[in-house]
Amino acid sequence: MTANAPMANASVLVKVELFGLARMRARVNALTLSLDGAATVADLARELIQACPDFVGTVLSESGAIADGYVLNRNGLAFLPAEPDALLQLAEGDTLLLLPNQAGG
Amino acid sequence: MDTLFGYRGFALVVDLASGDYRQDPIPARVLRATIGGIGLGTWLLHRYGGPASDLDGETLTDSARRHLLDTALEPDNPLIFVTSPLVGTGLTTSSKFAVMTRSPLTGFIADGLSSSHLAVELKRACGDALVITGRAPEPCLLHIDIDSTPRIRPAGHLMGLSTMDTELAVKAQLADGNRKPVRVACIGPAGENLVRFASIANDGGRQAGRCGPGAVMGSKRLKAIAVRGSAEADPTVADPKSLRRYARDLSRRSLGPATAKYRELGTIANVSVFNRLGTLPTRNFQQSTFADAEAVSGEVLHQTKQMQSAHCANCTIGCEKIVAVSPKDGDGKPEKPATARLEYESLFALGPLVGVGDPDAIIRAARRCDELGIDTISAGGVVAWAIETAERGLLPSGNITTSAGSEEGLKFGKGDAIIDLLDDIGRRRGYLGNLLADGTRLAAEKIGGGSSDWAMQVKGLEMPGYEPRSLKTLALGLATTPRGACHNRTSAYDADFSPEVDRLTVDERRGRIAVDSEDFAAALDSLIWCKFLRRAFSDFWEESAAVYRMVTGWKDFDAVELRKTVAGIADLKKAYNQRWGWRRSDDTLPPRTLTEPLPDGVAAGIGLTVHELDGMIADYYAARGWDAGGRVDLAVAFS
Repeated sequence: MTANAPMANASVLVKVELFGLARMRARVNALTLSLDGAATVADLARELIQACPDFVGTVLSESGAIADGYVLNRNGLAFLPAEPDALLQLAEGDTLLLLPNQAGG
Repeated sequence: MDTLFGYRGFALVVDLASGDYRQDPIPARVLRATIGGIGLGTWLLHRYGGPASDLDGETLTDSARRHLLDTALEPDNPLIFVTSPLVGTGLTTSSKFAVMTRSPLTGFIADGLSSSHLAVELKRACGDALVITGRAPEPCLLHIDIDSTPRIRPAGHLMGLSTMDTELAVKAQLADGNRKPVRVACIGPAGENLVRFASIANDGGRQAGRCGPGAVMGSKRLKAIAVRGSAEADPTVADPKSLRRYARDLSRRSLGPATAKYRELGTIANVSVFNRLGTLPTRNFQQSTFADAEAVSGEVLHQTKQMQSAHCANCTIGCEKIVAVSPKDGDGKPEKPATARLEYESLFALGPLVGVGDPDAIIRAARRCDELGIDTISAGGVVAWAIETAERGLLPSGNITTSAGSEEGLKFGKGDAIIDLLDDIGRRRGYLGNLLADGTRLAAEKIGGGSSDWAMQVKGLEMPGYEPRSLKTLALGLATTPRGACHNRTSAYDADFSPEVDRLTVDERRGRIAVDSEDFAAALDSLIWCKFLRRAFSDFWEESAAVYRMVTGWKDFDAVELRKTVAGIADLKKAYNQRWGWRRSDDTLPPRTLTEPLPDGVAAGIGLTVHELDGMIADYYAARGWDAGGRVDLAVAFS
């Protein structure tokens, strides 16, 4: 958890930077979402689908999980578990990165 | 004799010096123990290309080891094309082959992969492998047609042609009425001129790129290989019904979210991600972020450039992105529109690594590399080293022979001069072109002045587009893979890009992780599956073992045996290097990586110490079961 972690149920504004197909589907480089400090991956996915329904099928699954081939990272440093019930452990000012998996080239 | 399913059971061996040829049987136990592709290729490399007597790297002098780089261009170094049991089955992404030789760039194993129609025709016309030995008296074209009889034809008329023009000319020359066209593997001017990182091109621009197999082909005076096989020669598979059902299911899965990135954007999507994570090598690894990354990102290129997807034969993914090449101002309208294949590694090496943020210049440079037949990663790497060396006053900056080069000089970001320099390198033209055609390591040794400190290579092979200081599991993989700094024979970055490890620190688990990732790559590269399929499997080891059983009929082959087999392949590869003079100090990273912390990006201030790297290497050797000095027991490797 980052140093300024809020109490559970306190909302935090989080910037979500988009990469690859996520950026192309949303047609923006980033979204700003209001999430509960105790939000899970599933909570984030729900908000993302609301912001951009086109994420379903490539970036997010229909059930609201992070799709195979995509990963979450916090502040460019820690990669986060993708399980729907995993806590994001967010603090005010955190940035989430929604990234395609890397391979080859 | 038991029926052999999935394999032909022999290699076609051709001696270019005498024109003699034969079929050498490959025992079934060897096929099962090495599978195909890289695994079988390593076994064949030992058989046809081992040293006269095993060398001890720890006691060899530096000059003796340097001489071994030149002997890789002697006639007795074989050039081997190897297929796999999956070739011809129609399974998605399985039309691939390995190219094996000893590298004139590293002196060690060179195990490239390429793909598409040539793989199918090689298996039909040549068997499980085509082994080429000797040196032809004159430039030649090796033509193997439906009768599987090699014909060595003169190729003087092809010399000097680009890889694209060579392929077209050979196809036209060997056109035969309504019969299907021959499939061609060839070299460009760089291979003819023995550029140590020359590639071999096939099927319209696919490349066996790394480690200089094109130079070995050039040393044999072999400009091109043309193959046309008969479908009647396709080996039968043991359980076609199950295989067809599995093939349909795998094709369906290959079109899911796990491969969406490759299908829509291709690997060029890596640029913006790597830049954000501080893992995008820039200006010869002096930085890990690039100011113009956005302009050359996959997302922007996709919106601003004409881009088409292309597929290898029998591939459902279609990762290749073909981009239109814009002519330079003043070039006038080209006779025909040119295109370039753009992958992340080419984009990184000819863009951020050399400070170029002009997408058109990068695309032109990628096209030029493919025309010349040179590996884009090594090309970008050696140019980046030269620019930094010139900036430090150790190289003359105005030594490029053509106009743009002499006007612009050797500087980061000067795209036209860099393209001119690539031409000089590919033709060994001028002082600088000739110097850089030998690769970064030898060039730095010649120039001296401490320039080896910023020669970004491992075992002589230039670094790929992954910053090891901020990807520390991959750092271990790059240091220890037998062919040098390669991101394809290890996928250790998978752990770094996951919650499994902290990519900015080291711990005692990395040795095991690196071994597992290397074994995974060896399985993919031996069966051979495309790596982009890897997340489409639900259980890779179980599924691959099941497919192997369906193809070969060896019903007791299971996932446990597959894992044991690929670990044995790692032993065989290490044994090959060991026999050719490997020493412990070859497993390392460039001095810059081990002395300079990253100056920028989210990982600013992070470095990698010799102590950290050596600790991970010791754990890697232990996980492999090798001795503390990193040596494999040769008796075990050959058991």
